[in-house]
Amino acid sequence: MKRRKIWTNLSTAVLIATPAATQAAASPAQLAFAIEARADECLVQLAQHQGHGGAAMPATRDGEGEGGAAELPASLHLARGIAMIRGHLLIGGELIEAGRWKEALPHFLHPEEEIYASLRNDLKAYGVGPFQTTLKALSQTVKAKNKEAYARARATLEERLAAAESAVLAKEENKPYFVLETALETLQQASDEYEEAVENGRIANVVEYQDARGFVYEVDRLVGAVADALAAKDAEAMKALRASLSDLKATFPTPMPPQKAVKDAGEFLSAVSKFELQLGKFR
Amino acid sequence: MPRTRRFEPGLRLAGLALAGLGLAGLCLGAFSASVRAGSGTFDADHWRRVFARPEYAPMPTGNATTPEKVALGAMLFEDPRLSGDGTVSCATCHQAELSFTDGVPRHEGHDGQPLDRRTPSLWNTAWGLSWFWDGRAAGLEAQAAEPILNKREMAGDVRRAVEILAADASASRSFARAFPEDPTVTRDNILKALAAFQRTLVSPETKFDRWVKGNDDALDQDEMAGFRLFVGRARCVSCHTGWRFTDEAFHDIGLPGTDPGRGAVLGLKEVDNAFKTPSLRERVWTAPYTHDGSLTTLEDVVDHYADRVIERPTVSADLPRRIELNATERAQLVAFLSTLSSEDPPRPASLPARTIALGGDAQAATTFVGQKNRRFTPGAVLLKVGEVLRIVNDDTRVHNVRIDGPGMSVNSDAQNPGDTVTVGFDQPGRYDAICGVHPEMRLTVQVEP
Repeated sequence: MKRRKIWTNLSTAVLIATPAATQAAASPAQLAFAIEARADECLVQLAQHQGHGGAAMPATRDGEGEGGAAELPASLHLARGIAMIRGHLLIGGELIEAGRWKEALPHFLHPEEEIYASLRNDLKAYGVGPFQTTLKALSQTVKAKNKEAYARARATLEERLAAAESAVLAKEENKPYFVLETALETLQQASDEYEEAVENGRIANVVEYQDARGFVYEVDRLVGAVADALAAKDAEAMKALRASLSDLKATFPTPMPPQKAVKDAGEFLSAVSKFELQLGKFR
Repeated sequence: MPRTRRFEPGLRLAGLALAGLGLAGLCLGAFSASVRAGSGTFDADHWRRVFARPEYAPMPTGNATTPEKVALGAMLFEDPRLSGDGTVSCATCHQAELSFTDGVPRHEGHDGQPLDRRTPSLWNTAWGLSWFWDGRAAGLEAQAAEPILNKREMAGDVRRAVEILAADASASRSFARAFPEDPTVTRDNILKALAAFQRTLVSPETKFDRWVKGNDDALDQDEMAGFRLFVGRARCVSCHTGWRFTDEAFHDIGLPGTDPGRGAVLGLKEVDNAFKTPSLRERVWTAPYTHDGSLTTLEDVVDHYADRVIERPTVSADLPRRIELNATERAQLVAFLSTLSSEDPPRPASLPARTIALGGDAQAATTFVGQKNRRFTPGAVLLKVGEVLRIVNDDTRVHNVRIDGPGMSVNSDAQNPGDTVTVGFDQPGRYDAICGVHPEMRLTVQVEP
């Protein structure tokens, strides 16, 4: 099972934002444990996730694989799942454009193998039609290196994802803030992937590097879609968000990794925390 | 429709005995049971009999299925020399990776325009009663000739192809092995070999077959609800019946278009717009759907039957009109349809497994590693420089082998079940291999001088 290291400073930031009673109750043993928590256990409740005001849907726990970070409200769980699928498609598409079908294939297989099963109930709860067969059909076209069939299957899947995304957003009162929450969850997944990718200053696992790149660029797209609304609320905080995203994107100069890793895992997580620290300003 | 072929026990298949039963009988059985289903009862035993897989694949007299003939047919299937310009093979449209279709609505023909109809999948064609969407071929051997000769498809000249193959010593030997009674390259032998190969393309057992065999838990709640709709209110079973889920008949299903289909073959206006009921086996892997490839997903197919059937005099009497299906029920139908496909794209046993060589001497000493259940087994191996690691996909899903430096960088591409990846190591050191599809799969290779 993947273990998820939580950066100490981030934990501190979380504790600062947590009610005093909770801080008082946190024993040294609990803090130590929180520094390295199992990926499927919700040991740290991020401040901005408390009292999440989205749709009144049950929380969702994940199974194995990607998306196994925490127990999330169904709305956020589904939105993050969609973002992760899109992140995979994004990096996969880049690799296909570069003629790297072999490299692209895992990114079209992961959504169905590692993400979709955990979204099944959320999709039902939101009345969104299933799209597992569409994911399978798409990955087949990549396996066959059939560009025409790929383009068609990809367009079909994008339609399904757009429908799912609309269904989730329709039930959110504060859409821009919800998008930011989704972005943060996706970035945290990216940091898990990046940590798996880096070893001794080099990218030892190319697939995980590419996953992380896809997730970060998808977050960039998500934030860009609500940028005007966010800037209207707090222009300075929006600038800071953009700066942290630029910093994160700079970690991935190309779809294929550079010889030397641009950041180590701690630096990456630090950049994620800078993004996170702005979120409270957009409530 | 009269049956002109004598069916003999041929390839023994897993499943319950059904060989020799006429589809007409199945249809009658399906109809009477669908009445029962419509009245609210569900007779599981009945449906298990209706959808039971046969034990044997049919084999016509005069073209026995032999391993040598199948191997030759598999080779010819991918041989572009059968086409006029030497660039198109059967596999150009019938791609094994896409369940013997091509993933597009209509493949581009030699003239740069889309062909008239969607490339049909080739699973289970051995059980067909006629071939092509309009049923114009009466046998698989006859069917095999048409795409080769069609000017918009392979635009082949069989006489020239025979000369080319006869001049190829390796191909000639394969023909001699496949046809010991007539050891020559001939038009008939080409078609017989292609047909023999196609008869081996049998879709594997799926989740639904496990239910048919008596496992009541094989289908989840939604899948079972979808099945009940399929044989009940939605009346899909009226045409999609029998273990292949086709009545082998021709129906106008109310799609837009002017293609006369079966009507042109028979010269009967009454059956204009009618096309053969396609099998529903392995359909997850064969989008887009219908004779014109106009329905993109299985969801679209269900929506078509529920909402979009064009009314005209030729629309099939078997087609239900105005089915009231809510979103949940439509999703349940799709869930059920998915149980007729393998969890991972199947690859027929008659296609040779690939060996993907990533360096190394094929004759060198080898160490074997398996990949069953998403795990490299063993998870660590010790080799000497020059030795070869042979990684066999003995799992049921697609894997991949990659090593990302620093001393070596290799990526095997998709490794289908049965495929082997061989990796040579010419430098000592430690190498970490992963499966790019399942990155939690790790293999440590220690190479000593």
